[in-house]
Amino acid sequence: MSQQLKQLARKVARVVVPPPAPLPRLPRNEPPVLGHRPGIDRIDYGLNFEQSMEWSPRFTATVGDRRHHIFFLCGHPRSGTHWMDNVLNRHPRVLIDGEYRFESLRRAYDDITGKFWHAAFKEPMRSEAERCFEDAVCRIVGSSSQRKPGATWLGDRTPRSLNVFLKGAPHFLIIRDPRDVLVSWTHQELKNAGHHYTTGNFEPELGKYREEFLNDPTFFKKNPEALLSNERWVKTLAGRWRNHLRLDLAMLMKIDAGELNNGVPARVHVVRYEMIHSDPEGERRRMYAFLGLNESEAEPLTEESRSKPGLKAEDPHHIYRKGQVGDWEKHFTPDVRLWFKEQANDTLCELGYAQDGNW
Amino acid sequence: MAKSVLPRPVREALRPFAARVGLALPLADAEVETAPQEDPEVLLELSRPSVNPWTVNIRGRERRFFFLSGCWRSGTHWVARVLNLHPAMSIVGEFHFNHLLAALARFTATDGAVGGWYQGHRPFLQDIATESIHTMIRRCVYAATCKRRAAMWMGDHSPRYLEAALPGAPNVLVVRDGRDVLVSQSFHSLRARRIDWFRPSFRSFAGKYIAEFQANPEAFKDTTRGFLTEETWVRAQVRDWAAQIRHDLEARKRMESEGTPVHMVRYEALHRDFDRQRAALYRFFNLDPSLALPPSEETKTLPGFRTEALTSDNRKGIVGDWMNYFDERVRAIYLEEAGDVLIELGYEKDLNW
Repeated sequence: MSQQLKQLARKVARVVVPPPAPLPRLPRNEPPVLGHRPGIDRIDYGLNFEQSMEWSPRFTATVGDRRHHIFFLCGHPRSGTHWMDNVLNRHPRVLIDGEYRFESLRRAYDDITGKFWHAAFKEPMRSEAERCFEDAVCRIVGSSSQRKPGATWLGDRTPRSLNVFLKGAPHFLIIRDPRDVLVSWTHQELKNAGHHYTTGNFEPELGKYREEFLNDPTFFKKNPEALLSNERWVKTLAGRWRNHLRLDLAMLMKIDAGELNNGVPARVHVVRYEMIHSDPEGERRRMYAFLGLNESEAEPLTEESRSKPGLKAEDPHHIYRKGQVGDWEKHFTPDVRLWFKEQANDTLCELGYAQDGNW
Repeated sequence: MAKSVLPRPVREALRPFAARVGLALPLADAEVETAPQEDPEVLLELSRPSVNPWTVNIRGRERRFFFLSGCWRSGTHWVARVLNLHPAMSIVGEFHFNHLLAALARFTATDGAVGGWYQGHRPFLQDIATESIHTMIRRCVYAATCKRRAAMWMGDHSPRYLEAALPGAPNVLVVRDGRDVLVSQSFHSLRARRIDWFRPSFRSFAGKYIAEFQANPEAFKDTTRGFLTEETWVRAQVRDWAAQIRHDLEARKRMESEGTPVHMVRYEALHRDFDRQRAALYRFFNLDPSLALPPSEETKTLPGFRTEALTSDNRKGIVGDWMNYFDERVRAIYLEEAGDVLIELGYEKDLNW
């Protein structure tokens, strides 16, 4: 009986509290990937527009007699993907309908084609699987076209790592100061008892703050130092952000190498959250141009469409919380700075958000 | 043997003679058809089957899909080879479509904890995603099996959890005594080429055993050496086998109630009563057993192997080998973790073995 109970407990434990996913092992001292700096370095990587369009049969969905091209908008969670979505949707020829999260299908495709003892590791099965995966993505995104029949570009907005699912397709990669990401992310995780809060078993350590926050949305406005007061929490999120960005930067380098140099055929436009705050019109003009669209057709940015920088009123419980640049300074105590630097200062500096460790 | 020793051009030259004595398929059956994506007509039929999700009609000929699964080291390869003796069967491995099926379940999940906020939970997208995955399965299996033109049944064999890869398509489930599975897996793992194929908790001892095995395979006939001496290994293997069997038995009931036929083959029964069991297999597919080629050592279709080959994927192929390797400690772990499953499968009457 006790054995059965033990087995049941193990089963329940597996279902209710799955163990946290191991962090990808990455070298700590790898050289900077591209030395990207806001406003200084390039913002476009990989193929140019014409080269990309040569691949367009691979990222085109045909619905009736209409043809729609597919693009992707990705980035770390809480980096402004929703906002970019709203900005892009102001153009009558662009539609982003939401998060498709193709990663699970992609991982399965990678698995069935990635091991030498699997039948789809070999040709022609590998090509069959690849074309089927691409067709699936095109058909699924293409099915949103009826919501905006004039749209020539249909997009998937998923907060995820940069990974190319359709060869040659355009991608927007949004990057935000990770310290602001941490503040925004923590608000959302505490509000929803999110993935990291649950899987990392943070309830015993952060449960009291969560309860205060749920009872009083302004709790962390009144107690800004409490938001990031848990060392394990800060280090976990900072480490995950770093790993995510290292993978993004590595993929950016592969895309930039291009197909001929064993790279990945695609094109990427990097958008900085902070830049679109300071120059929204200039940034969105470049974004439309990246898709070959004329900016003059786009609707103006408005508060109602949540496409303007910042939000009229702060709502700490909402997915659109505040939308500010530099909010982190209120919440980063000397301890938090130290914990963050230990985990991710190299990548923070590489992205140009700090010069060194003296911040 | 011939397949592994002779180069392909030589094998092809010898094929007509080998076919005459039943050792190979006739040339007409072995011709390569074009891959689906090179033929729009085939592509369309595989994407939108005109008959049902597991039956396509290509240029007037019906071709049907089926699947063979079971726990690892349970004889899925052997049963696949036996099925391939019939000219109407063409089965290849291993596609491991369970990864696709799990991903599809996540993509279309309506449960908020899994991802109900994704777009994929919308009913029309669930349909598109499901159709797309079914198309991928049909196209992959077709591309791999269409070489045998005479074959009406096209299948995949993979050691995986039983699930309906294509609703309604026949499934063969192979079940073997988990104790023999444990012994077989413990030898099979000694042949691993990479240490990162193992779970992190096994890597420390796995590396040591693999190196020792490469130096002297025969030494591992000694029951005090190898993976079976590691409790964490034994416990995990037994637990995983029991979990799969429990799942497969449940899945079999569910699938059959939903109209997907499942034929269960016992490894031991196939050993004991080979002719009748294989005839039953062919009949499951409405095929005439008398049309199948005879089993042979060359095609590795006969029960067991002539000699024990420790370094081969086909090591021994016997029933009850566990009795040569189990000591009291392994037996106790087995009873604790999966004694009930052995009883449920009828391998033991109680826990006193």
